[in-house]
Amino acid sequence: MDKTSNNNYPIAAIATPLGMGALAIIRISGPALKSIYCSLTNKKNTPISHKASLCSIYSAIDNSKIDRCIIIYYKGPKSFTGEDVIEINCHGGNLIPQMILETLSFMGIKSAGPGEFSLRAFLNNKIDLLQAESLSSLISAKNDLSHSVSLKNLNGFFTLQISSLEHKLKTLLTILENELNFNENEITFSSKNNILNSLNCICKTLKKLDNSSAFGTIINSGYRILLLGRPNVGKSSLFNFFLGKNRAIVSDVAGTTRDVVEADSEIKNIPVCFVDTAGYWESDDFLEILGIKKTVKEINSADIILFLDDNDPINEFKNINLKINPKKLIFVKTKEDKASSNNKSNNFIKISTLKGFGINFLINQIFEKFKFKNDSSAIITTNRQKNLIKASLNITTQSIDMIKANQEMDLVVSNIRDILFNLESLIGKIYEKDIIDNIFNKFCIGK
Amino acid sequence: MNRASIIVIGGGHAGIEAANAVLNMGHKVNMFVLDSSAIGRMSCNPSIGGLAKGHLVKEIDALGGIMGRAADKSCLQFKTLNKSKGRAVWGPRAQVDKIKYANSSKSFLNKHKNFNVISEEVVDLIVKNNKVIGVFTSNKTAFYSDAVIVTTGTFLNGLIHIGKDNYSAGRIGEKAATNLTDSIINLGFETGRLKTGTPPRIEAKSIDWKKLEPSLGDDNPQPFSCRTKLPFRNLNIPSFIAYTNENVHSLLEKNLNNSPMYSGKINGVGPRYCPSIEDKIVRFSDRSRHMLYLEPEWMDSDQIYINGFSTSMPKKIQLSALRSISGLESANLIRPGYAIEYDYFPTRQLKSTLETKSISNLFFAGQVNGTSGYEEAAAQGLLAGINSVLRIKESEPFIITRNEGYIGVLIDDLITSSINEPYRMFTSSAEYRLSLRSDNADFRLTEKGFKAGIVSKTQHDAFLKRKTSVKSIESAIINKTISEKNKSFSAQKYLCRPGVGIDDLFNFIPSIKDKPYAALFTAETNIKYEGYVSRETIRANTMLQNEKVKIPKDTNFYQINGLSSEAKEKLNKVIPENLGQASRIDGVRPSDIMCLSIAIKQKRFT
Repeated sequence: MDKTSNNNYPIAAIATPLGMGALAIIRISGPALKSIYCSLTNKKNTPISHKASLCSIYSAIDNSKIDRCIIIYYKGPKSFTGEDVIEINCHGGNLIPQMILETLSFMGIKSAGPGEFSLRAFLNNKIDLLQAESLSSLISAKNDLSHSVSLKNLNGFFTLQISSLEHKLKTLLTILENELNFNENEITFSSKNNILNSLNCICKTLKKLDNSSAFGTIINSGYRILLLGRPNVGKSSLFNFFLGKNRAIVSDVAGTTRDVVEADSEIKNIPVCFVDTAGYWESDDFLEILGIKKTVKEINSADIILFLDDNDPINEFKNINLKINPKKLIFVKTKEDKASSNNKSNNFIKISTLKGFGINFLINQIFEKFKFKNDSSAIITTNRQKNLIKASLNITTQSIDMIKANQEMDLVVSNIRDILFNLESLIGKIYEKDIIDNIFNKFCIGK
Repeated sequence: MNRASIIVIGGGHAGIEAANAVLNMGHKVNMFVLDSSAIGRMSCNPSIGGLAKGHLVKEIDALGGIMGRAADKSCLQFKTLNKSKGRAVWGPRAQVDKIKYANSSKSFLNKHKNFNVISEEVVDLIVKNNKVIGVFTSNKTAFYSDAVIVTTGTFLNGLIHIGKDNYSAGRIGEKAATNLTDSIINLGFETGRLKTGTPPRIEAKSIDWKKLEPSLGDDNPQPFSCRTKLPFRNLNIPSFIAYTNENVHSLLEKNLNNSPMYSGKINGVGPRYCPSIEDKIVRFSDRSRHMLYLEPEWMDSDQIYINGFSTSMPKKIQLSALRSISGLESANLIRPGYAIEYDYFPTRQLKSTLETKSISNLFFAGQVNGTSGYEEAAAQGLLAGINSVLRIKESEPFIITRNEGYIGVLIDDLITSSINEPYRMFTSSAEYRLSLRSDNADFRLTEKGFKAGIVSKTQHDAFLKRKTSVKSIESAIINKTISEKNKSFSAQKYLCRPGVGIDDLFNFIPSIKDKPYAALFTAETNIKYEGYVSRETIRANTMLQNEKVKIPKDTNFYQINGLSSEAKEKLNKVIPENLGQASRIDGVRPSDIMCLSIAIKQKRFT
């Protein structure tokens, strides 16, 4: 076999973001990096593994000194990729890291593609598929919460939960398959209740995971906060107030697809997305337009709805006769430009965007509406995970009903095999080429 | 005479199907047997089919094989097992007249002018440049052929054990073949040792039948073969049920040291799934009784087969144990049960065509590959037969995938997993079981077989007719909306309800009423199972992607970085043909498959 037919060659990349920084890190991974270390540093031996050491780096092209930097040598398999890894902490900027890369390339070391380091870690069993996915989310995490969830999944928590389900399903399958394998009079059947119990237990965990997907979406795309009210009650003013009038981050899609203006922001480190419905409401006949499905859809997909009015929001809300879950609703009286000691009266909040009154109180009210379920359950963060969990849950519920209705066991067992199949592809136990490629392609270079 | 396209060594179930397949494809067969009167002899149970085995019989039939037709012709009772569990696991089973079965098998072969039987022992294979070109017999005569199929069953160094006695034999009363194994070992093949057993036969007139429960077959039996004329009738001869008891168990237990299995006399590994009675009392010690079926070996037979009482205890103990059973108090033994040890060839040495990897044009099929059961043997014989002809024609091999048939599962299991006990077919081995039902074997295989030249035009035409019939029933149901009491609902959804059968639709769709029973049954099952089958198909399609990724022949698994050392060793031993096979080898993990696939891909693209 030729040399490129496996991962038996070293790769290198700049692992820090490109640009002007004080320091940059270059990462090299490969099956045996001792000789590379020695020729880079003009030393005869590799240093102690996992210890930082100060050395000079020399160009392999003309043996001139490139930089003096800190090098950490990780002897495989105790490294991120499971291979030998060298991390060069050199001076930043564009020049020095590029010179080091050039020298590495001259030595025949290939540039790493996106996710190639992580792929090697995966191939060497250092991380599993869910951990790889979490790693990808961790790097692109937009906020603290997203970061902590990704980190939890990276520690293998999610995999652990799925593996435990997998184990339960396999135990159940062994029993049921055995019963199908033998003639009726050769064996004693297990009781229907025992089968139902274990399926119910599996169903419960799946439900919990499925519910966490809603939270997972929030982590990645934020709570949707909808601003609703008659024209000129101050929706856009509040919208801009929240965003610090920084219209640069507002994505205006009015008139084209959604007729709404939305913008990402944060409330106390929690990602939110403000949605201004000005597009519908500044219309002559807003009640008629209210009737269109789009409005209802916006209302349904919102997590929190601020109903604004400059007179009496509660009364006004009654007038328009809209069905909204009261748990989602916050009534806001706008244009309350005179300072008042009592921000909240008659179940609505008084604010003034002009003077800034009542805004902090409103923010606290919104924050209280956030539903945190930071229990020990793992959290689903990607669509791939969500779909597989949802499918597993549906088949599990169906199977429970089938057993109750005394349906044929060959069908039930096939269902259980389907659940197992979904969960095994979730944790990468089933090799699906496209999925693996997709996950590792989302990485940036150097990871 | 001395030259044939194909030489088949052995005339058991594998040999018969191998020969028949070759003959159906228009080639000449020389079959070598030790005793020509023993062709098609059933050495153990007087029945064909059963759980998962019935599926194999149906598939063999769908591919033009003999087994199903011979069983129909010699049927004494037909019964579908496991009827309480869903039709994908129903096991059609026929009790047969052993004498008639062997005769009708032979007569199917003898219809072919190209068929010759040579009653000589094959002692050596003639191999030139790693290719088999013929055989040598004990008469020192050479016979030449383009391919050789070895189907020698338990005859290779067969050693019969009864109590502490043992002697060389192929089956009771038939001599073993002692030279062929050495010849095959000399070619570099590995061999192993397995054991199997058979129960005692007792005199019918010594049994007190009144004390036993009769057990009859199905009221509306359906034949195995699509070529058997309808309506299918059989004699529906009852078998009888007896039970062991605590006395039997304690007697056997006391004498375990006399059993060759327990005293360490037998080195071969026996089947866990078809345990001897002494195995059963040790392993299922909590059960106070075991069910036994007393089955006639042929019509008006004086010889009764004790199904469930396989044993290798000394004759005296077998007899006293049997006489402790109610109804058998004065039973007389015609022939004791015995265990037999024999040589087999571990199947990782074979390709998925059953051709050996190291000697070309040499095929192994049947019990010699470590399987148990007539049906498993026949299925392999059929595939080896087809592929031997395709091999000499240099055509594409005939491979049945895991989602096409139990035969595919059987062969794939054999070549990818390390067999350490006799392999028996189970429905649980088929992960796409809902699609692989016994009623749709012809839908899965007949057209494929016709294209490969193994299925006759007559059979294919009959299948097309049946296909049209099934499709017309299905579309009549799918297009029908039932209106009743101001309500309307689709006939298809109605049929999917638990407890509703196709006969409930006859009033609403009279046109389907007169269709053949088998067509109605298949259409009904297709509709009822559709939702589940479609999910199963998604699973199959994902998994079968890997079958398409071929592993290059010269792959050095030790050179692939990231593979676990266990995987490297196993892959190197088996040398899988594609990624799918690799993924099913014990000890090869999903991450190993990743590494392997990347290695293959990179080689392809750089």
